[in-house]
Amino acid sequence: MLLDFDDWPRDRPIEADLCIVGAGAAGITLAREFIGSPLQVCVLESGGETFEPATQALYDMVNTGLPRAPQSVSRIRQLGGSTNLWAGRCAPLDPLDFQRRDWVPRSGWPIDRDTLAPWYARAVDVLHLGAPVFDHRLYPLAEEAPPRFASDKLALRYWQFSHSLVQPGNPVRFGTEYRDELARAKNLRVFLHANLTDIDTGPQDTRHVRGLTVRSLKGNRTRVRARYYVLACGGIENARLLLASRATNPAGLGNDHDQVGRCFMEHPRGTCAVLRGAGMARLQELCRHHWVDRGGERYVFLTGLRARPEWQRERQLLNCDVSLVEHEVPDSGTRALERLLHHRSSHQGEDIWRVLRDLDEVARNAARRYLDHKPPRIAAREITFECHIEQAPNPDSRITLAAETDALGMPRGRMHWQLGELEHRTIAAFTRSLAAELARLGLGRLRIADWVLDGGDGWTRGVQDVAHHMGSTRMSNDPRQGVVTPDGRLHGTDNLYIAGSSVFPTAGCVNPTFTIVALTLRLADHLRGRLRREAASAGRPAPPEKAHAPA
Amino acid sequence: MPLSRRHFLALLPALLCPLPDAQARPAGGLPGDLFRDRAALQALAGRLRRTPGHWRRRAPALAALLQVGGAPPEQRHRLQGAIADDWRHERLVVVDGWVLSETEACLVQLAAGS
Repeated sequence: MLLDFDDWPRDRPIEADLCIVGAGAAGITLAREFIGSPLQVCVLESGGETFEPATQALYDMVNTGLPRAPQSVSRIRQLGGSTNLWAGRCAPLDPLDFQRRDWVPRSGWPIDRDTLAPWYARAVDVLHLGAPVFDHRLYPLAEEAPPRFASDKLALRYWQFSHSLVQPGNPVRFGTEYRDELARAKNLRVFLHANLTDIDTGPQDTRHVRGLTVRSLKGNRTRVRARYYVLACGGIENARLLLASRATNPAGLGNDHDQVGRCFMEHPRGTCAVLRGAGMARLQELCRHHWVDRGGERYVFLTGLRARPEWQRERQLLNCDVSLVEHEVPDSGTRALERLLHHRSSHQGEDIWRVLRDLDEVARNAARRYLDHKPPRIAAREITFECHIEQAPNPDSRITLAAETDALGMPRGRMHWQLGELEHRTIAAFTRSLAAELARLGLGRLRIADWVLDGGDGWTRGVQDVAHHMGSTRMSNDPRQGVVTPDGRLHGTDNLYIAGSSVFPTAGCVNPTFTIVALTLRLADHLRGRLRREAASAGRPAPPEKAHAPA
Repeated sequence: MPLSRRHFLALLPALLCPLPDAQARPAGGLPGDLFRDRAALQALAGRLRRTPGHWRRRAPALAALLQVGGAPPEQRHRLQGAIADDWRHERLVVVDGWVLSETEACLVQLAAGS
């Protein structure tokens, strides 16, 4: 059920078996896994069902690092979290992303891609993707012939777009998509306007979390007591909450080795090159949207170009990929017809003339759309290449606490995002390889952006953050190198877990949500296993095993 | 002065197909009408003269290639092979962001001086 915490009696404790803090992609995925089980689950969400500026202001931070996008466009404090503004692009991390790479300091996950594969498969259902396919197996699904593309430096990147079943044309926005399911669940209470302000481990022993302090902006407060707690507040807040829980350790909870908040990573993105003239049409055919129609729904896939793992190894560089941004000719007949059909044309005479002038193109696209069920092809006046770069873990790129406090008296976060020389070398080398390979294959001649060629620190002016917040509570077997165990449990505690991209040891270069959901499903299975073992020993009802849970 | 888009695009067809058809006439080993847009050619050559790097190392190989002689299609084939080899090994020259192979850059220098 959904409850407003402001309606809850002040100081009346909330008790549960499992307490999940945060109702974004990770929090809601985890909560759904326990619906219908004999466990009592509570979810604490700071926001309401709609955007509230006062709640959002709790996210305000002090920035001492590279310039970043405003908080209002990078994360949302509301039921559904930042999925309220995401674009829905999904892909799994590449196998090399999980591996230890000698040339990438602090690289290597304690799990590999094959280990995560079963949960990636389940994440497909949560995010309503078309199929668990992120490679050339797309083409038979889309009823297309696979393209001929042979390069020992580049390979095709395959993304899919999350697909809402309740809001057509949108990705899955967790707060909307799963709202009714959460509201109906009898063993689940979602408290809105409930802000975690302290994690209490007692004065002496930090191993066991005894409870949480929860407050609302309207002045309500209480404690939550649960057997297990999961922080699922996003890649910045997870670290901030640990750092701010310093009753026992002034450095913050779980921060005995000064790891919390370090190695904050983003996916620097920038326009690295432009293509005009010859080759554009062939490249558009290679890297483009694909439609897969299944069960009355249309699923959208996208292809781009990525650095091959061999290229990364040989050159000792990071992962990197590009997607194409097609800048269409401004007066295409197909677009004119779309405006006319949807009553959006402000110059009907001109649009009718454009349709008649481009009748061949219009007929071809009509056949593509309605007979072949393919996206239309519009000529481009230019194509720009949007690169996404892996950021290497860097302890100096970090989140700490500022002296300023928010409306609840919590220290604000201080963001010090840094990029290094390895990221610059990666994008410079990748763009050169891209230019050379496209020229060799007759796919066009690139013009490389100035910032890519910048020999000094000025290159960072060409990139921006993309609200992918990762690494601040990284996963490691070694508590001196990370914050959580491979299962997501905070090192040094026995009942506090962390979910979300803050646990990523390295970032890869693809959008993180698909991996967030997969890791959260894995965490759900882990918790289910612990709870079953506990229940068996105590003679209590146990949560059922999920049908797809790997052994 | 940066190389303009117009100048570079004017040269592109020649760069993509270095020895155009049977009209090509060897002139000092290089077809005289390789680049019909002389202004574009001179602009690019001027920028190349100020472009540091090792790209000039390809000049002797290019000269040797051109001196082999043969029919224009054979010459074109050899040049295209050399350029493809440059792409494969990323022997590139970047002028105001535009990307040329080293062989192409040497070809421009030769054409501009011819």
